[in-house]
Amino acid sequence: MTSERIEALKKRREKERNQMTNRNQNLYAWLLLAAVILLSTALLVNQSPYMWVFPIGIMLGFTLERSRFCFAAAVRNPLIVGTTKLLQAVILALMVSTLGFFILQIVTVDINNFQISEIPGSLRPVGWNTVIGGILFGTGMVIAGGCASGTLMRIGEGFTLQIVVLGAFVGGSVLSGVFHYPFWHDLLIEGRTVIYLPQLIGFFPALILQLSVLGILFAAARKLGKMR
Amino acid sequence: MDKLYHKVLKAPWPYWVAAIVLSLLNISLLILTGSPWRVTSGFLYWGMWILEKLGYNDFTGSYFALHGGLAGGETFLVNSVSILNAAVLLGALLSVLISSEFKWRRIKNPKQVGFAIFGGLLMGYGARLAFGCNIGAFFSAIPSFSLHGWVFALSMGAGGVIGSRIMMRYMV
Amino acid sequence: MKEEFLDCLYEPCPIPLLKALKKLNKMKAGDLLIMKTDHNCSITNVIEWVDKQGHKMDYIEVGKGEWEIYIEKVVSDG
Repeated sequence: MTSERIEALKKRREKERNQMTNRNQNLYAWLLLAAVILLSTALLVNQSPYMWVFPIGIMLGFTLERSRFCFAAAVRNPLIVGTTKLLQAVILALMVSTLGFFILQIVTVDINNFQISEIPGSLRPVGWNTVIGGILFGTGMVIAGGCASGTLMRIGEGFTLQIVVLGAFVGGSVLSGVFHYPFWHDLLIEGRTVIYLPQLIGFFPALILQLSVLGILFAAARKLGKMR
Repeated sequence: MDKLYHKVLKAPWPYWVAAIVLSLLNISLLILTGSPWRVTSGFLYWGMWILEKLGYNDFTGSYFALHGGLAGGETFLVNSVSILNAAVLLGALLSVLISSEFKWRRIKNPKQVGFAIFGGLLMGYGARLAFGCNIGAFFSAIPSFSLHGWVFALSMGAGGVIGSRIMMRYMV
Repeated sequence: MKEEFLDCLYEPCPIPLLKALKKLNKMKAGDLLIMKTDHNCSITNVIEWVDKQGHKMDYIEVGKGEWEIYIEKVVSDG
């Protein structure tokens, strides 16, 4: 909320500041938009395997930037300053996606007789590797000022620092994913399996349980956000 | 017209709008390509592409050999994950140009670079162990009803506490 | 009724927010803080936090991708 004194200050600073170079960036925006549309059309016409990932990726990046959405901030802000609007939004997104993924999963497989490998989605083994990886990732995300998608978005906005982050990210991936992978695989990952909730408790109970847990978390985040 | 431009393309969208749009895009991605939004395996492939260029190509026992997968015709440089990543970057660039807010933001001091490298390395290292980042192992994993998504979320929160401590102590 | 200035250009998130928080703690009610940033995320973060604290604020774009945020410190009765 603004105040009279802030309005006065705004007027004064507007006057004081040097004539801002008022060239807008519309020309570049139109050029890039044209290139994106052309490329998307070409991919579609040629039935390229990338005909969907390209336009959807563009929309994902656009949405992230347009709304200043940041997964790192969603985790970090509640911890350092107690603001939770982003966290609430992330939980809301998880609820919407849960519903969408659920519908897709039950129409894709026979719910009485299915293999884990047939289920559409991101299903991966769980074990101590998840815990260690998650802790390392969470620590790094706060220190680097952004997660993987955030880093890509910031490079698009022109942040030189995030190019360094991306380089280090690639380096870290190679270190654990290539050079140290045999070690971690033998120690923690070998023999771990996917734990798919509907397989344990049934499809509809899993949906209800997950939506309830997310709902409770949403309410808790909301309450935390209102406390001073 | 000016007002509409300001509201839609200049002022930030509310977070809840973004939350719904991102979810719908992720669901579409899963329906249309069979695979939800993911980011970091693309970074691993880029790293392996660089290794190959440097003459290293023994990937036995690597993440890629055990769990990776590239479709026919895909390379470490050009594959659906890296196209998706490049598109996310371009989409952000498009957005920032439309609102005329693009600017080269230079690096302020060497300390920033140190923390950027440290943070990036930790994220890269952790993401491979956990089968993804907070997109693949969280934003796409929890809606898939895979337990690793929830375990990752809790661990990432714990990491966030450690990271925040380090930041408050050394970076502000 | 002092006016403080904080230059947060080229600072990544959430450093601008934390710097503002530190500075505001040292200021008196009625003092004004001018922050300069080129990080659009910081604006949303600062707005949310400042609103929660009950301070007054607004911002203007002073160059392409550069903003000034103005905060008036308010001390609540509570």
